[in-house]
Amino acid sequence: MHNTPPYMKLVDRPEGASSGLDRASADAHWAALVKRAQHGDVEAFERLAGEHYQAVYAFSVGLSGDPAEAADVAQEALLKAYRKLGSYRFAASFRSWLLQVTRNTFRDRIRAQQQQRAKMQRLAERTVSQPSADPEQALVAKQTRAQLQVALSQLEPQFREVVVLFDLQGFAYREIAEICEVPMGTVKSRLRRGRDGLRRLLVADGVIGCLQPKDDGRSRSG
Amino acid sequence: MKCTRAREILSDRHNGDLSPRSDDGLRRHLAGCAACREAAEELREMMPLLGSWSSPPLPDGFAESLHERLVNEGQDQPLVEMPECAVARPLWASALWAGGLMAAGAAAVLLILWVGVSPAPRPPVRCPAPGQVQRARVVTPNAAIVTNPPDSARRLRVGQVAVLVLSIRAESRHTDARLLVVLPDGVTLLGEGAKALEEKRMEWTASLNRGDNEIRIPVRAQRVGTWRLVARARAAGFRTVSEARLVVTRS
Repeated sequence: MHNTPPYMKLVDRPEGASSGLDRASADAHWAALVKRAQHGDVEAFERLAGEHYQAVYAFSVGLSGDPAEAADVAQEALLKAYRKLGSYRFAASFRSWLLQVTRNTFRDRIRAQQQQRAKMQRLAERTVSQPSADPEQALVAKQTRAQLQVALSQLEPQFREVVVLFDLQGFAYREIAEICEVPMGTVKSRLRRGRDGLRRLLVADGVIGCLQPKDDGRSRSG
Repeated sequence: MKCTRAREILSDRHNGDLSPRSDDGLRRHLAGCAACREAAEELREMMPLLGSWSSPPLPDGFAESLHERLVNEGQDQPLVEMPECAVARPLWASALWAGGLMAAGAAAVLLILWVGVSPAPRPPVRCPAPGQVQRARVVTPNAAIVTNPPDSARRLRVGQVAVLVLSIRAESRHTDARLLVVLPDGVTLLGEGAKALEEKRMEWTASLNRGDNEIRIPVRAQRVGTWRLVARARAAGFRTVSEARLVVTRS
């Protein structure tokens, strides 16, 4: 759970460090586990997987919008990573590689299930048509989050991936570039376009844009 | 500053990527452009929404389910066998055994491969083709005789000697298949006279027959843990991976 928005945390974070952990130490620790797993140690892989469950699952939720499907994607990705571990050559960090596998797993799934878009559309209709009569703030927040998820699911995959990784999960440009296998400049431009697309969708859904402009748009993060 | 440029750097501003000069230019543009001002306000409204997103907790049983699936990877493969079989069974006997599978619908012809061989300890080991086989002699007093139930057949104690049997199924015959077997650190390959060899990776070319093909590997259990054995086969239009899981416990 984020205590502060990840985009605000990133401002103070050096490029390449995408979590509170010491990235170099984490990479070295994971590399040691990977080597053991590559030599057939199943328990080493399970430990490795355990340390990445949450990141893989969160990325899958961000991409698919459906927690149940995300769990399937996450499991499939971890199994695929297990099978492909022998081909991992330490060119990128293990986490980047694993999220790359997750991304490809999700894309493969989308390709295999062409009805995905229709399903998300149905989910969108259900979500948006839910009555908002309940005065509880929690419910409103939940509904807003659901609307955000629906809007995300309507973005093109290449933009959605970057928005999810950067704005929702707090990864740095460099790591996103590794995961998505594109240059950093492409990550930045996809982020801009993704955010712009998301903004338009959320305005169209009435989630944002109902307030009168207050000033010149300066960020609250200062 | 044009609107297109202003829209681009609106997003950058939220990442703290904007230079003071660009920030100043943007502020001036926004002062005179109602449409961009509105977009800026919407973006400002949207960003905390993204920041407040949190992943739902992992579903109950996620780790257990994954563990089960990992453990079950390759569980349908043959397991540890009596070492005597590796030494004593003649090639033709194994071929007949495979013929039985064929009769059962598997349409198999067998490749018999005796691994373990010889003093040739340079990785990757070039294993001999079936016609040039040197049999591994793994006859030791403490040899493992492990049979059913299947679960116990996947367990060895440290120091135990056994023959691991990996199976590769092919849909058709391939005369020049590339085979690769990778042993985990948990077991040591045994050669002539049950001598321990250093090789972990064995790669060679052989014929694969349609149906189940066996690879037999004499080993000694070396280190406690759960270990994964992998056999790969590759030929024109054919690629497969066979796996087995082995648990080594304390002696």
